[in-house]
Amino acid sequence: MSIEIISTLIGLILSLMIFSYLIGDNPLFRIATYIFVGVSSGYAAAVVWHSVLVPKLFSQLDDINQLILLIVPLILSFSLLAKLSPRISWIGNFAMAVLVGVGAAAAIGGALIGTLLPQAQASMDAFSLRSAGTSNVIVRLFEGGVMLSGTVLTLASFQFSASRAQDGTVKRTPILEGIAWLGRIFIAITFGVLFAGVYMAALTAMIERLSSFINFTRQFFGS
Amino acid sequence: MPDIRCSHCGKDNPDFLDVCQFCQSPLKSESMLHIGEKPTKKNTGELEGILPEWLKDARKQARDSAEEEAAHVAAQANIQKEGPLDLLAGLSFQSESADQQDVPDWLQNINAAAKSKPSTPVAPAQPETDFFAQFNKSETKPQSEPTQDNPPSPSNEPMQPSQSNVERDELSAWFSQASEQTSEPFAAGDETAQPHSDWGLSDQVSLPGDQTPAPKEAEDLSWLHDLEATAKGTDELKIPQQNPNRETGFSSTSQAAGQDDLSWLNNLGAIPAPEQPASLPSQSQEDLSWLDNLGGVSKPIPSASSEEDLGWLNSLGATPAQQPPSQTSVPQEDLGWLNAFKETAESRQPAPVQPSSSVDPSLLNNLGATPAEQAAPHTSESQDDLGWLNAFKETAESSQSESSQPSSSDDMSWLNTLGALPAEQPASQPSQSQDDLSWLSNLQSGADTLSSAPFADQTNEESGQTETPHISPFTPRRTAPLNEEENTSIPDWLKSATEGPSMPMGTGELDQFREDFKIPTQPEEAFSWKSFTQEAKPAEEQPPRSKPEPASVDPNLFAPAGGSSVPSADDVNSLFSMEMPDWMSQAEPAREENVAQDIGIHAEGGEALAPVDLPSWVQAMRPVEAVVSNLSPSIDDQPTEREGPLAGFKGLIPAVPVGSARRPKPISLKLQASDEQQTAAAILEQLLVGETSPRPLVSTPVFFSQRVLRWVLAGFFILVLGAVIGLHTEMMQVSPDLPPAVDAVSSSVEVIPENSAVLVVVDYEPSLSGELEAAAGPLLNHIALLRHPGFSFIATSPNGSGLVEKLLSNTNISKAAPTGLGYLVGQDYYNLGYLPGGESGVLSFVLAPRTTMPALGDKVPDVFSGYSAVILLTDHADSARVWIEQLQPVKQANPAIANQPLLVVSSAQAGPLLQPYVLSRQITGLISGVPDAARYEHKNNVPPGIARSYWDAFGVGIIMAVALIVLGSLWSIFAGLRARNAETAQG
Amino acid sequence: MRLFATVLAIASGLIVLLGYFYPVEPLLNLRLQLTNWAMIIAAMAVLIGIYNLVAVQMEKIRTRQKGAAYGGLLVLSLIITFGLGLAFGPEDATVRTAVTAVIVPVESSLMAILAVTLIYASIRLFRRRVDVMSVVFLVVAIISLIVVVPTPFGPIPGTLAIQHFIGLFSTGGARGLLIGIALGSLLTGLRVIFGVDRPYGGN
Repeated sequence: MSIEIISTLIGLILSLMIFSYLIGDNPLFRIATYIFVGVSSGYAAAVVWHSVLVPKLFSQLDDINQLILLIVPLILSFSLLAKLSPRISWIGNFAMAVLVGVGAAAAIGGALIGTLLPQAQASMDAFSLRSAGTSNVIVRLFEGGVMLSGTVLTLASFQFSASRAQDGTVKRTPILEGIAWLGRIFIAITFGVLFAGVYMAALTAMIERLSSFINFTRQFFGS
Repeated sequence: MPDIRCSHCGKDNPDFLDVCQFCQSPLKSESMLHIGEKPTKKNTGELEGILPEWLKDARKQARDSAEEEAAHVAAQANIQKEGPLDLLAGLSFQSESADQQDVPDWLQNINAAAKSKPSTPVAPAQPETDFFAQFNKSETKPQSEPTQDNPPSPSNEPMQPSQSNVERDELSAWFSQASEQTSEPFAAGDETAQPHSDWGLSDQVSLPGDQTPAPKEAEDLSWLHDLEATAKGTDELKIPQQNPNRETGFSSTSQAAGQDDLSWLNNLGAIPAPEQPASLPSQSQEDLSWLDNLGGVSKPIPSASSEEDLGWLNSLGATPAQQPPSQTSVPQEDLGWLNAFKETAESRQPAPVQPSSSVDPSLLNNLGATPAEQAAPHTSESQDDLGWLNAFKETAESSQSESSQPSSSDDMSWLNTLGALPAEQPASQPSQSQDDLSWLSNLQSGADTLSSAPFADQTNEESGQTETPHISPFTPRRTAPLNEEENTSIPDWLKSATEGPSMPMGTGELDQFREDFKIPTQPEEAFSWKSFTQEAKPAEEQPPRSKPEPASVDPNLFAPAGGSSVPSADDVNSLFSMEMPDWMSQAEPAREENVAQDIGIHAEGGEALAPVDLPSWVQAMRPVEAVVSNLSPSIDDQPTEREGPLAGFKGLIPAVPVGSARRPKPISLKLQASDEQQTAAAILEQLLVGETSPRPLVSTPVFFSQRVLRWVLAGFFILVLGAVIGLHTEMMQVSPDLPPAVDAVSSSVEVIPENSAVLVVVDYEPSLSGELEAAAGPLLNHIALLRHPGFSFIATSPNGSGLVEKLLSNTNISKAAPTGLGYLVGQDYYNLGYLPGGESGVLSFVLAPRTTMPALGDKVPDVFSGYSAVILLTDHADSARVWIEQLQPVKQANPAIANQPLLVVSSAQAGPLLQPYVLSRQITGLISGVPDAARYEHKNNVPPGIARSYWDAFGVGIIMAVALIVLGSLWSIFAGLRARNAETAQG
Repeated sequence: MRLFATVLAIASGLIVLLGYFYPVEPLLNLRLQLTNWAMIIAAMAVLIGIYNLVAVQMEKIRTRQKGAAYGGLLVLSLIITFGLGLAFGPEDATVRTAVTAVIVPVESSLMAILAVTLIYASIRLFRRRVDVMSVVFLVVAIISLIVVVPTPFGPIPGTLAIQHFIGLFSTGGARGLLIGIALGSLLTGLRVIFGVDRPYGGN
């Protein structure tokens, strides 16, 4: 019995154990999930070690030039071990500071240059008539208007600023309330489409699992 | 000339003063409760021994029952926690809203009988009903209404118990809030405190209106506001709550307290009955529907047959054994039970009080079921006509609107007892716009009646005393001048309670005041109970009461809460020109001081208790501001009516200063069953009826059906999809039309240079590897077949690197020819491994791929422009966004890669969120899920055919989903409507 | 020390951020170095996180808490997989079996269950909530499914047009969501850069 068949058989058993959750939470399901977590974590640790730490850190320590550059991340990396102890966890703050600072800067740059500006530009380009033919002007304007409305109204629906009324209640103005309601309609449409997508993804996963079962059965029984 | 000796400075003060005129110390603070005050908590255990036997028995029963119920509650605590409570189901017929099925917390603690039943998991069986009730409710009610705060009723799905609990808590929040607010209704200085804060239940009822300044009222909660109005019509209701022993009232978590109160009522027999009618104001004819409901519910009361939980209610309304026979035949739809109360009241009022009777509950029972021949006519009237309720409503409203007129509060209780009488009395009203003020006639008559004391009348009749028409408000302050000889049988606590003011003012002083307030013909005098007396006489003519009977408590149980200024004899006669009941045609009660002499209670030792020594629970029983001050200011001093039909009139309703110096009348046990309490009893009764009536337990079947539904769905999917997959059918056609984004992918593949390096980002989790392999397979095969690029795989999740081989194997790229394309690792494709750091890692990689991933050396291009194309395989929009965002600056900065195609193969769940990037051209082309992949595969005729092999099963799965969702949703709606109709049918 | 951590975060963030707008060589090199450090630290953080997972499970086993047996199973499978991975590398066929035999089947099965759960939730939706949003949501979901459904007779006519029409609305909403997310990321990042938020423990 080849390792491929064994792995397929194990996968089939684990899949059945997971499917048993449809009946209800049970030990089989828990066993499968705990095994999955353990294997996944172990594999991730191995990948991190082999794919990142060894090639980027430890394998270059023999080079003195690289050592100077890598001494900082080396120290910072091992300082994270201090996080395991509450008394000296502050030592790991510096590594976390670098991690957070760089991540925040990347997020700022990416959000600004990668999403905000291009999407704003795209919203405006939707009304561009240069690429549209003469007969498509109205269609183009309609489509651009719908998408721009969806964008603006969706954003407005997240506007929670409100004024305090005389009776002390904090409430949005009726206009803003109406805009927010329309925005929620757009969000509902978007989520409806997303829901269909999630279902299709899950359905495909089920089909893939069932296909593996059937294929294994055929393969195993030689049919 | 009785004076009050200041306990602080020792100087005598006039009786009417509340504070010492010399040292400003409170003189009678202990014996006079005001609105917003709490009774002083005292240890009254030593007084237990002097209680009459019947009272001892009553208290003992109350304690016993409280203990039993506490134990019972403790035993069922867990069950109640687990199962959504449904105590208010009995109230469902009061409102169309089904969300009243959830019981507020404050109601759960009302009665042990009600509390012992909610553990039944009925609520989980009513998710749809609750929901639709809430839905309809939202349709029918303005959101600004207080009842809109009622949260959506719980679905009570077993799968989501927490949510059910949350929703139930939200539902009860309104009531809980009310309950909390009533916890300290007598907070000093709290102007918003209910002046009629009474039992907790009554407070709950009355609070919504107070908390909501807006006049809007929820339709289904109108009865609550009615109760509120009623509550404001009487101050007696607060008294039990003032009692420290009953301070929590119904809102208390202590169930025993409520039980204790109810036991009190039980032992009081028919005493509280007369006040019930006034507690049910009839604001409008449609408002009376709730009365119908109440009547229907309380039908068992007069029958007093089987409902053991309602036994106390039976005795509350009337002693069952002594009920007029006609009460049992009252149809459920009418106000039978109310009539029973009213009837009882009416029949009881004329009950001749035997002066010789001792403090005996049997007497009370007799009073409660007195002469049927007198009760019968009233009953026949009241059953057919609810006008008497309207009359009382107005009274309640007037007292509610006039916070400065607490006088009517106690009077209201007597008004209640008069039943249908007010209809006959407007003729005696002062002629002030009779049309508009017709209700005032009732009001006045009611007020008069409130002020009157049937039994006091009886007493006065016996003594031959008549009331002086010019008695000033100061005169009757003395409620119970104690006659030590005659009241030796009265226990100390009652003695002190009925102790008269110790010091009537001097004659000169009284005369000085009388001149100012001798206004017998003023409209406000209509409130005087004396105005109804036919034989009102000046006080001077009243002979001193000769021999008050020792057991004078009974008359005072029903004694007027306070006397008031007396009109002239002519006025009185004109008032009673109509036919009057016997008891009302009798001599009007004597001056209050004489009455008080009758009922004066002395301590055993012959020493009257000082007012300050009143036990707290006696304080609570005493009429709070029930005694209408006789201080009748001039019309100019009277407030102008602001609301109602009297708006604009001045002085029509006498303004009585809060905290009048007037001493309260002797203790009146009727306070233990005031109209508010009657209302509470009615609500409790409904709860009990609702709980005792059988309700189908459908929670278990629903829970079971839900689980079965999941099993059926799972089995259905597995069987059908398995069959389709197993049959390897290919009957479903694939559309050759490609969406623009997919078509763009085909076009982009064409421009990829031959044998170039293509970066493939494995940015998906193993959970969607099947979908991504099916979606990416056609593209990868297409590129590999067309351009033979070298693939570099990099993963942004640790497990992603392990998926590369699986991807290439399943898409036949790494398989040997002729099955696959024969791509070899390290030669035709490279697995760069895991790229950690999220955005930082991606940024680093797009800046310097080789530096970032140095493991493979020169197999990785030094710059990102070394890749001719980037294929992003992603299952989540967020992770895809990171790549898109970080690539954008690089593309802007480096023209060499500005036209580098970014092809995205996404899961179907991420596709919609990536469409904006397609429109912004940050994504060159997008294949989203199996549908796009199948089309792409079909259009370009490329292997591996995974998408095609999934296609039939995929189509069947979609069809099943659409069918199930549509049918299931329709069924959900139908089931919800059906459940709601069923609940409506159940009442 | 806290100040030093804050300064370190702000400085590293500013350097990386400036690199977006001032692509000068020293700054780019410094930015690249910082991002590389961040990658290494992140990788080490993954390992430490896994170690923490093991420690927690071991503590559960040591104290014999409820579910300790499951914890033991987890630790055992983790150790075995990690040991094999360290020894042979993650690309080894044996180690890769962990992916194909355990990780993929379990995760895919969990995802497959979601299909049933989604249908069940959809059926129950109108029992729990019927309002405009729910109706719009479910109707759009159904239409989105219908437009992709294959039939034996080919695609339903007009499905592409319907898909495109719905896509106008959904794309508009999605763009709004993306912009909102980007604004949130921008604000959060700026708070970190300005030292207002110090999630690294700088208080």
